[in-house]
Amino acid sequence: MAKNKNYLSGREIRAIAKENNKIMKRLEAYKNRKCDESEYLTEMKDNKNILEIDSLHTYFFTEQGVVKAVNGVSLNIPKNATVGIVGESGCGKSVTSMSVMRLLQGPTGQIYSGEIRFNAKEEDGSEKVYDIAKMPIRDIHKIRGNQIAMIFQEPMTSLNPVFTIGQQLDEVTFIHKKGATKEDAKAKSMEMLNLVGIAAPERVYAAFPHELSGGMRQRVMIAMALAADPRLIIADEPTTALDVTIQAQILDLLRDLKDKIDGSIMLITHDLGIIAEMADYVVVMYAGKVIEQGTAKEIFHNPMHPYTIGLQKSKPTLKSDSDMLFNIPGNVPNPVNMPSHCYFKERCDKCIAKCSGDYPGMVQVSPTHYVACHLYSEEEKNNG
Amino acid sequence: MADEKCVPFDANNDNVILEVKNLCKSFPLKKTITGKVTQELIAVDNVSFKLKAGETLGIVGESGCGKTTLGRAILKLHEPTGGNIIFEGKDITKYKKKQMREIRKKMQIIFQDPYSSLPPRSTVGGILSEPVEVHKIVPKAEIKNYVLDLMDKCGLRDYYYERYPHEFSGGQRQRICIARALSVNPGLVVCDEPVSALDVSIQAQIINLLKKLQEDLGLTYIFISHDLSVVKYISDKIGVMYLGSMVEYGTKEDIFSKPLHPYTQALFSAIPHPDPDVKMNRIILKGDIPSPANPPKGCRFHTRCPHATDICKEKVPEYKDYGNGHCAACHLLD
Repeated sequence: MAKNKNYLSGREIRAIAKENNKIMKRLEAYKNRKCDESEYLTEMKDNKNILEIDSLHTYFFTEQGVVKAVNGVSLNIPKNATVGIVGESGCGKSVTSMSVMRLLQGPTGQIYSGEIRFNAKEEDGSEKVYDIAKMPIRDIHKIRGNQIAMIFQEPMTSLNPVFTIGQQLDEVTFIHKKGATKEDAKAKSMEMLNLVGIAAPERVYAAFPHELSGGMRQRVMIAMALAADPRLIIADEPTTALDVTIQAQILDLLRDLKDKIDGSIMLITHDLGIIAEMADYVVVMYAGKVIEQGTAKEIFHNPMHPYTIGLQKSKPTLKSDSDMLFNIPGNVPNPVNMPSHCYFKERCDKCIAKCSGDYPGMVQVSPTHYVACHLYSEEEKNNG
Repeated sequence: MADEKCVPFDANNDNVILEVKNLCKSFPLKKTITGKVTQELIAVDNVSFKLKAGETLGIVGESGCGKTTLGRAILKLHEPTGGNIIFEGKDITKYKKKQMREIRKKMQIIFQDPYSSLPPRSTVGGILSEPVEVHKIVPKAEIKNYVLDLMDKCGLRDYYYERYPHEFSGGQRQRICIARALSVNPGLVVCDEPVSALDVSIQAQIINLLKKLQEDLGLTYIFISHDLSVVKYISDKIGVMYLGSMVEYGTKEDIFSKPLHPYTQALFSAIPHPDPDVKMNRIILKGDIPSPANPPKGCRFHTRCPHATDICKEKVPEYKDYGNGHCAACHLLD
């Protein structure tokens, strides 16, 4: 029998661990260093953007080897826009958001390289650009929870069961607004609860999380995210745990809020329907890489990458009436030992000879539409 | 509650594999010291329908509406508290465990979570041959070939026979669950959210497999899901549930072209449409689903219904046939 690919000998495991420890130690030290602000101040490439991610690599150093969860992701989030990130589980969409928030579980999870430029607004109104990837973890509170807020997937588990909603909401104000009194905090919390459409804010303020339904908890989570007036909200699968009718309520709320707070939303989901409805720009991810990005109209009316096309065809819609659903054969490749050719090659039905070569680079199809596929670079050559 | 509920009319009664009459299931919440139930949760309330062999009934509803309990009560995994289940012409409601054993061969279930519904310590071969052995489907010597044949039908390679569940991805595990359910040649399979734990591209593979198996083996499905687009794709008949009772029932075409009940209408309009140009006229329901332990009086939907009138708050609407077996329970339709 051939050697089992999934089996690692003791020697191999020790070699991996040794190598990992070396890198993890270096990255941890870099994360915990003390440094001057000037070291991580930088400039935006385009001042219209609020967040620019530039070839971000986030790795997990596991016992089986290095998992390249995010492997060179670049994307921009313009001001006052909703950017939807879509992909299947394990494609690195959540890890991207965790990298932006610097919430990766260390020492295994580390930002290996890349830049995350964020345009922060100081209290006096001036703008400063930080490179989040370079910031030491002790300075991250300048941004996290304050300028960038996050709405998590599971409203059931992201609230603390032993504190009332009021205590948890007030905490945000105490932490991020210096010198806030109890009254200030409560007033702000009530304002937020009203903003997210909770009918009886007084009752909810005094309630414990278990007393609320899933939809209400998600509203509280949104209120908490908004309490510090963030410039960017990262919503990581905000409605996956909710029912359809409640989901409609929450999406409606998010859309309203975006206009009210004058900020941007980074919406992470696997549901193409939600993306179509909410997003202005769409980023499609597969196995840790961005494979296609463009405006919502471009992605939905003119999808180019075979994966995007397959993903759209494989979802039954209320209008479609075909006999068999289109399906993409096979599975997502193993995140350890990724091949050097296009990751989608094994599942792709439009493979050409070039696909066995290097990983395809980003091809620009229109000013806003990019796709990473050899099919289109080939075409360009023929035309030119 | 009305005693006699409308049972959807079927022109051809011969082929009915399952008939459910006024099925109820409640769970005790509080008991006195003598064991008398003082408060109960009515999970399934007076549900009736008929299902022909080879058809698929899709049951949709939000969480807590009793769709899973209904599926399990039909298989008698929960002992029903009222009503009758008639399977292949026999009333199995009062069957004892021993008698049920014979019936279990003919009705099987596929669970939602393929990660927790497979025993981690047995191989795929073991998982699939156990039911065959217990129910004596084929002679002992032929079991292995039978199982390999079955695996092939469900899209599992033969060398998976010796492998353990943890070596597989979610989609493959769900294929194992399907193969296990089919190993005893059932007529009726209850699919309890079989694809909701899977990714979109894998979902399509599993749905196609279920559909192909139905064509090849003539299976009857009860397909429970909260995803309306999936239900529409796979079902012939659809039942919409809200807080334990069936609010609408009919053929797929009827339900989707002219939904009668306001809840069904709201549910359909709430689905996000994967096309940025389509701006749906969304009916957004106010509030949350009431607790099934303390359901509202009158029509259960009146607290969230956009068209609720006074009568809805007092009287429970009757479940009536509005032509062609399209049933609904709503005062507005009278």
